[in-house]
Amino acid sequence: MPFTWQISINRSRNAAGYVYAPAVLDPVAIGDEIIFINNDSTPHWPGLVDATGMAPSSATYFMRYQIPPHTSSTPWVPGVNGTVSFADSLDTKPSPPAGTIVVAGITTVPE
Amino acid sequence: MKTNMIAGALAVVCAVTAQGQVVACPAQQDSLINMPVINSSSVDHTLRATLKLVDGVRTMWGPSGDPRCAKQVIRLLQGFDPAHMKPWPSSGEPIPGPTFRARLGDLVEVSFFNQIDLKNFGASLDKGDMGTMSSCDQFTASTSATTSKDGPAQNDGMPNCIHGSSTTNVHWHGTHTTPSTTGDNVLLFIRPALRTNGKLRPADETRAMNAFSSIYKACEAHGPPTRWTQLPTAWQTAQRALVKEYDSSAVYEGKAGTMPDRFRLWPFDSLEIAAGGWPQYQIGANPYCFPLPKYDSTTMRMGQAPGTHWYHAHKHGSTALNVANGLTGVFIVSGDYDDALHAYYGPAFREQVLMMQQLATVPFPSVPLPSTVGIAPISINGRLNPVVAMRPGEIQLWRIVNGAFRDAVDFAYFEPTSPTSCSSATAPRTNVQWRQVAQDGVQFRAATYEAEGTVNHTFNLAPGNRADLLVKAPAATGLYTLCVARNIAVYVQSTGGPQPPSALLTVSVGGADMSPVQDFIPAERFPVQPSFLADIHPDSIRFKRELVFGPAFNMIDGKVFVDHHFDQAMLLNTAEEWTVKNTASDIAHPFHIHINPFQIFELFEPNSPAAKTRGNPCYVDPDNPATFKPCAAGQPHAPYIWWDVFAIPTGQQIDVTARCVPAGGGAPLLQRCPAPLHDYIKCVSGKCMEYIPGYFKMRSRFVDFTGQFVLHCHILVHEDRGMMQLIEVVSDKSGYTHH
Ligand SMILES: [Cu+2]
Repeated sequence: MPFTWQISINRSRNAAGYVYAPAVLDPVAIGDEIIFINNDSTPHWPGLVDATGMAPSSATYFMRYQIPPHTSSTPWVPGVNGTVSFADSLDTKPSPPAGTIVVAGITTVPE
Repeated sequence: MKTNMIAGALAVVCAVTAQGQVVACPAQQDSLINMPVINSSSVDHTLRATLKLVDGVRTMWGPSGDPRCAKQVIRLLQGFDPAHMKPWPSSGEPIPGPTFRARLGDLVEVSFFNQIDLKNFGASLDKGDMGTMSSCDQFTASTSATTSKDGPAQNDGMPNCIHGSSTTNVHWHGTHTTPSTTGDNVLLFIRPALRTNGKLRPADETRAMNAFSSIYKACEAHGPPTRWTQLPTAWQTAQRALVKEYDSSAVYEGKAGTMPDRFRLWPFDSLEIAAGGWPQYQIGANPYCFPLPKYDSTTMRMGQAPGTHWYHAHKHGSTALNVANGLTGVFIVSGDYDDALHAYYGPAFREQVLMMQQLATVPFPSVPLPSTVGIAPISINGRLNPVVAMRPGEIQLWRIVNGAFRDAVDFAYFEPTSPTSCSSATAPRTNVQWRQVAQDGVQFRAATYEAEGTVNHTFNLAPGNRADLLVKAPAATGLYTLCVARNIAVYVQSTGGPQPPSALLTVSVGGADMSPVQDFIPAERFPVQPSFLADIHPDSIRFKRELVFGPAFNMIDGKVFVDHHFDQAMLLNTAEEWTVKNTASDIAHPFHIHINPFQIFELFEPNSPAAKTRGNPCYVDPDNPATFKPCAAGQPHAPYIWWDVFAIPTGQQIDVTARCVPAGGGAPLLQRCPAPLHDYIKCVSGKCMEYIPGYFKMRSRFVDFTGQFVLHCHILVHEDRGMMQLIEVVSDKSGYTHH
């Protein structure tokens, strides 16, 4: 069965005030589950970053609702290969991508 | 911006180590791990234990076709003996919970604590997750690089879906005890302990421990409580406060404290308490207290059978995921049976406790996986293909539990270990020998040992089944691989069927020869079966009923599990005969019923090789219902084996639409189908299917305990998704008198 991966949202002294860790989740396979864990005391809501690399194009791409403090999200399950970048859609400042998830096919190890 | 990304990436490394990481897979053929054992006290005949459900990081294997192994956060059980406190092993291996060992007549007192940190798992409320109509666990799946779709898995609906995944309880599988209050009560939903600022509150645990000690004192004096109001007031008050606190603080639709009334738990608890019942929802802890009754003909119709039983999580909606996380353990009840084996073989006689598991963090894929990716492997006691050490010529007692959440395991043969183990058709297979001595924790009679427990007689353990084996090492030292065929049905109509044999474990034969030489116990010395396990006489049958599993994977008798509704009611202290049918053609749904075991006396396997061979006397001819009957060969014979799980043989499904179309054309109609087959055909949505169900017939006694419990498929995802019935044993006594 697929694996489950966690991306933590932690308080940070960086400009944004938070950090998604790991910022790069790799390798993830189709069918794996990814959950976001909010360890911060304010809500967060990772959303998809579109091709322009700017604001999230979809706040509900990974989950339907924001993640309250000290709770976790519902799982997001990649159904296609590719690299998905995300940013925090509740961040009112224009912000760089907060992280990426690399979905690559499972390569079977030759016997 | 660039700098930030790098800083983020560095932070990753530390975080990932704790939370999830692809790692090298553990080497196979490492020595067998023994789970810590908690013994009952021989002084006051009580099994005392604390059983804690926590979460931790363990190394898990990917499914077949996925070469990854990874550190995963899973739910896991830890056990503690209050008289001999020892820390739980902190190894990275996903071992099952503690092995409990008690004797017939003992009292079980297990303090169960659910201390899962909910934050480590995907959001999952009990009665509602995201506020959608279905209330099932939601997930979002990407269908392309930029679009996502969300919903419950595969259009399931409450309560027959994966939900409340950190809520659990303990099913004492194989016990003959009360299904109510503090007994084998699977209708309890025990939520994780509440936390303040993410931290457990030690006072809550202390309060529970104090309450439980007085509950156990009362249980020792009077047996399990019969009413919630008999429990200490302090515990009743504490639970009420905790359930209400959960209701007012749970996260709903992304906000804490906004859960609508219909999803709150206290209203349900308070209704049940007011009706004199037992509140279904508890927070953080639950006391289990029940006797393992020793048979006494003056007070009981049956006793507890001494043997290899087990326990596992059993909350409808979270059973599969919790058992896949490894929330299982072995529960050995000793008695005359194993005393006799130990007496025969002497003090050097060794037992191996083997819990098969199929570990995963996801009970079934949410999106289609590449066709090369299969299902989770079968491990034993937390390792793949571990090594059991034996001396040349030694005989050991192996207590095997199939604690997998999905797969059955067909025990095929041992062969000398080689790089091609289990793939060679010509390897010698007479090295390690076994004889089966018990099934599902009930010892064979000597006659069954002679007939079914013959040397290297293959057997299939469906999920939930147990087998005790006497295993004899060969005289030649070396490594021997046990080859098994995983399956969800041994015989199928066309697709499916067993996987090719693969290695389950390795026996390493070495050291000094056994002296004197050991051999299988002769039938005349075989442990005498207790009298209450004598065959149920056909004349004692009071009622007959029929249950049909399938053809849908989640239905019994054409419907999914319905809350607040009994599907079967049995009169206390009566015997019944059930025909349990399966209309699925590729899945042998393992039928399981709690509290009382059953004896199978007839078996119909429409997909057995003989049944599918034209000209064979056992041939099942789809055009001739007179052939839809068991074949004389291979029938169970008296004395019958006792089971508490049995994989119902698959059936045949034949599309007969073309034979049911009216002469002038148009939609097919049943009355146009061949007349002799009408009883076997269903015409739905323009299609007519003939079903020839496989079945078994069993006899069981519903004795000693009234109460509500369940029967279900032991492919646990099927149970969670609806293949379960609520049943009740009702009293045969009335308070009224007539003059
Ligand atoms: Cu099933």
